[in-house]
Amino acid sequence: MYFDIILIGDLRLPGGTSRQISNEIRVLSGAGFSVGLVNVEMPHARGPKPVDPLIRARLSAGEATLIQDGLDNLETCLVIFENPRAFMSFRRPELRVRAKQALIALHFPAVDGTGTATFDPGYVQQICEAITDAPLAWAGTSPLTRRLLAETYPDLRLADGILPCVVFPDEFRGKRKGPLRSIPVIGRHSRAQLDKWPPTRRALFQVYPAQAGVEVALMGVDEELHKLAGRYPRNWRTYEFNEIPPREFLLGIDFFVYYHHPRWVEAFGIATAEAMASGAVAVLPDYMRVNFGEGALYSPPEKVPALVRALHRDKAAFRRQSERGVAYIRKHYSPAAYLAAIAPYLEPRRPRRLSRRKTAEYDVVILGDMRQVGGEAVRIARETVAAARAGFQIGLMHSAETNQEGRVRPEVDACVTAGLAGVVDVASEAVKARLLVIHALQSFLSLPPESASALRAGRVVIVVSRAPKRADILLAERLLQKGREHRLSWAPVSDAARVQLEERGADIVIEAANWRPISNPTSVARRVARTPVVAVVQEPGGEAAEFRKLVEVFPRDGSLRLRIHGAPADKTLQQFLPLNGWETFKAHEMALDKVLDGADFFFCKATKGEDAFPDVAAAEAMARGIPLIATPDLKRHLGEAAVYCPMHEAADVIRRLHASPRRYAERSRASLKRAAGFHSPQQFAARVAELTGRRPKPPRAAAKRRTPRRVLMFSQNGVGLGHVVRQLAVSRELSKTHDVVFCSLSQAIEVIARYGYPVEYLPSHVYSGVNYADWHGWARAQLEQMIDFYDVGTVVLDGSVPYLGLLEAVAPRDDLKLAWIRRPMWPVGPESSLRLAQQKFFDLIIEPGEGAGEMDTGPTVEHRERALCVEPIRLFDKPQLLPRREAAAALGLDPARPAALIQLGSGTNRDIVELTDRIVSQVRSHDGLQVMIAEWLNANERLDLWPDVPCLQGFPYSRYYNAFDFSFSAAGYNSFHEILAYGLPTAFIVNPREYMDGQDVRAAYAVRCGAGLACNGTPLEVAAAFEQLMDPGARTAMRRAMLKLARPNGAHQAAQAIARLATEASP
Amino acid sequence: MSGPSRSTASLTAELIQLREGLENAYRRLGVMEERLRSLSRRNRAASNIVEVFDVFGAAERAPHMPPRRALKTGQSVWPTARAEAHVLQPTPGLANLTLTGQDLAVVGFSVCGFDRIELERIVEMVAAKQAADRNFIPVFLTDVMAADVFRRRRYAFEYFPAPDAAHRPPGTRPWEDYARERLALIKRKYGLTRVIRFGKHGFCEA
Repeated sequence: MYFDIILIGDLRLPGGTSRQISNEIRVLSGAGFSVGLVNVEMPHARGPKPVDPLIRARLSAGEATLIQDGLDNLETCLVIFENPRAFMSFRRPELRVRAKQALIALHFPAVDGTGTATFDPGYVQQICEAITDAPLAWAGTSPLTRRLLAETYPDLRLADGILPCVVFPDEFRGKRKGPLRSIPVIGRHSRAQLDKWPPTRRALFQVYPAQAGVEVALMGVDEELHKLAGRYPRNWRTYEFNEIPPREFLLGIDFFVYYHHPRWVEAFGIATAEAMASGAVAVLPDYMRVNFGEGALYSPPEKVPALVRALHRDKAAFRRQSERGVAYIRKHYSPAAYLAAIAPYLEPRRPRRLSRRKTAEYDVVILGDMRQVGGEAVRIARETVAAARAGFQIGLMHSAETNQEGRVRPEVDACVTAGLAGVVDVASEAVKARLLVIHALQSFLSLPPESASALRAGRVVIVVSRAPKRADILLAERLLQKGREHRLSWAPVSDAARVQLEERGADIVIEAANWRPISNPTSVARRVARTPVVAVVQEPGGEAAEFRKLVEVFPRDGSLRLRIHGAPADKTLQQFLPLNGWETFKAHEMALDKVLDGADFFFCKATKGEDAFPDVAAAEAMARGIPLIATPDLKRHLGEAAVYCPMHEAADVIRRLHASPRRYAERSRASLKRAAGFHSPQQFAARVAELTGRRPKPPRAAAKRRTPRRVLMFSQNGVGLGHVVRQLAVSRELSKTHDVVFCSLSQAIEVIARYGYPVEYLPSHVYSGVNYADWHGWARAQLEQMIDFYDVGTVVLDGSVPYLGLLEAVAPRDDLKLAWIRRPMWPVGPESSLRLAQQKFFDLIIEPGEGAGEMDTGPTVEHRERALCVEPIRLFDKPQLLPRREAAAALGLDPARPAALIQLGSGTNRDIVELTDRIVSQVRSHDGLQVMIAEWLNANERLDLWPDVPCLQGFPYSRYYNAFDFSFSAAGYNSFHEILAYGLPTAFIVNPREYMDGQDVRAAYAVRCGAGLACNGTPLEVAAAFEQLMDPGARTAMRRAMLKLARPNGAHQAAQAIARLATEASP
Repeated sequence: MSGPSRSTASLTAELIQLREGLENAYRRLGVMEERLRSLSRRNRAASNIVEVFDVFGAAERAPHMPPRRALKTGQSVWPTARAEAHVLQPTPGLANLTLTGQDLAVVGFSVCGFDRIELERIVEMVAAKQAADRNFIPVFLTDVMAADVFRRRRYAFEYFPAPDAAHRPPGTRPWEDYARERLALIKRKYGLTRVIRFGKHGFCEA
């Protein structure tokens, strides 16, 4: 990305540097240069903060571009590092700028008034040199900063001149023929900061005298100054900082007298320069002579009153000095002076003129704060989809209602990603629309004037869910009607909003029909859970109070399950524990659609009197055929669509409806009917057609994708390879219809790649030894990159930990589905419960069958109702194993002699070397027995330590089971089920770690069924196991018992379920 | 019943000792294993290694062709970026475990396109440099599927595939852009100010 000039600095902090950056942009852009900005954070001001308003205004006016992407590939003629302190703890390692020249601009003295260095130039230079290879020089923004820099750090390479601070003299110039009045008016303005004032009361009154013959005007006073002065004299006029515009203030004084605390050093004196530009005569301490030369007068403080009086008396001298001041600023600090100073660093060619602004044309532009959580984002997204599918060109324009940080809601962003709408950027293009729909008036009122004026629309509709203040209504009418010829109307979303609007807005045009939310009716039959699941949606604001009401009337014993979107803060939730059966979601955590998808009923009530109810969520629920239960005050909003009852009766009404399939089906149909009648996309398209004067095209059949979106397998890093192998087993089936990619925390990526799947690796926090809390954010970022690049529609986790990073990347997006393959036999404990609580975020849970399932007492058992239970998942079916002769040949074994396999797992969390050694030592007492040791792909230890025992490396070993007569094995999920299914007599040496799945239970089950032996690994037990396993009769009996327990492979069932989900994710 | 509680200082001292013990044991074990293996080789008593790698019933791919997407709009116009997490400081590796928690610079080592033997040599070289200087923590950046080389030393590594142009999975934007974004992400993740490159091509250089 190329810009003529790139400025890098902390663009968020208000103050002199931001002001200078804003002025630089203005000058450079005005001269036709393209300006790129890169934000870095000052060490003391980390964290999210909005860009400084002055710079933001420049961005809004299209005079500069804030560079967010492609930071590692920037190109420019000149890069300026603004303020060395911003690079003292630098955190943008990706930043690389190819530049011809580089300057480090110093806006403040290199040492403060106490002689302390304000930054480390060596370190800063090192950082800047890592960013660019261009020759680097230091440039003061005033002669004083340059001189102090040269004196403090004589070895630094200085630029030839300064990079001057910019003042726009014409903006301060007034008509001034001489002193204003019969007595001199002394004044000054500065930020309210005690260092900016003389140090003592006496010194203060020395330069700003309390005398009747002088008037003193001070702007930037505060409590501290008041304390210093005692009380303000009668000849003083005082103002708070920027209480009146600086120009107005400056044109009301004759003398700008600026003296401050000795510990303060004024690097430049922007207020002084502006005062001089206004024609006021500046009287300053002598050290400022280097900056303002003959343009100002210099005096010790005690002589200031006399100097002022003398010059006031001599009108001609006053005028001459005033003119000298103006001329000095023009010569040294005007835009022309800045351009002259910067010219040597730029290309010796004429700057490129900015091309004429293009005009982007849309049928409909929807303007709103696209970061709002709750129903608003869904409302905008549905309108966009409906209008786009009807053939209208849609533009979405974001305008922040507040200064709070936030990101565009995924529902809305998905419309842009899917190509259904363009992003309106008034900074780079003029925008013309047939219809402008304003969602949330405040977002329009927050627009900078330049942005608002770049928007042209034939028709404007302001959508109102809660009527704004009358003053805002009138302001909007004035702004929108000013100099324009479009028609403006107001559209309430409900009758309640209509009444309010009528009450508050005089002489405004109100649309005849309400602006109802749009949803997409569906005829999918509802799957009703055994325990009724009720969705409740709480709009932002007042969640705690609303939640309390829910707690009062709905049971918390698990007899009803509640899914609450818009839950209050955790602190509030904790007051009501236990909340058995309640699933709570903060509005930003989970897409509204998904909360509704998991529900059988939707309960709603009015909030804030009758003013509001979750109309968007209700429409979405109805479109899904979910029966509505509502309080009677909503009858006028929902008509026949809902069953009405007082809130305290809602639970009973729901239970009764749930118990009657016939009545449930009736209510489901009523919901669908209402959705089709009041909230259909076709109705919205017709309305847009009427407002734009364009006929909608016949609804396009949804653009058919050639193939469904990809499925991303996300595999946890287990102790063994179980998660990866299960996902491979499912993927082999799934990839007949869906393209599959892998993101693996396991290091067994080679296996995945060999099976033909694109795979990327995400180092786990455990392996990398990094901070767990911070790791999630980076995991999320990588997942989001992958999801975006591969066009993923469904993510499938195999593992026991639903990582926060995964949930944050997927759950809030309604265009992504999330599935969980969760093998059973979990250990009991608080950690397991916490992990299981996250199942609320999943759209599908698959529980692979467990051979020893009847002995499972783990915490997943009681959650089976919500899982799809499939047969045990294995990579192979028995016929796919190699026959004995072939398998033995491949392994170099003699098929005529007995053979044993030692497969004790990866050894990640137990010592398998000693165990293996015990087994190997027993082998020597059994003549003719062949033994192989299986080394896991993700093993930490190599097992090629026994010269007479071959070591098996690779994958998958189970395909060679027929080469062996028996095995010593761990009892992990995959090994256990493979051994059972393929009938390999085995002594199970379980991994006893308490956080593992129930290997001991599996081994005990096998023993109970005669389908295996359990061995604790001691020499005695190993010897005993050998005795039994070497007995052909015992092996045959064991094999028979195993085959009785063998079950079909569940990979196909699991793949089918995921395929169905993935198809939903590819509409 | 819980035992007598111990002070943080005492626990920290024990942790340091444990790390020292582990570091020493790791180094000692490495030397002994190497000696043992070379002795076994000389006496022709080395274990026989049998390798199998069956790709049976591999993916029947239904390749997806995602629609190409336009470049993301700037954040000031369409803010979709999230606040980033703190920079991660990974494990210093088993041989230098006592460097844990010392807030050292994390340095990226791009090791792409090597065979396993070359890779082993480079990783050994970096480990030796780290042991000598004791002032950095390496993160290896590789396109080689040889996780065990790093795992045995417990070094953090990042893998990003480098398929040739004909075998790149189709995506919503050019692979080169995707690779560039990933590299930028990894640099931010570990706060890498330096990436030292071994080999002809660098990490994520498509």
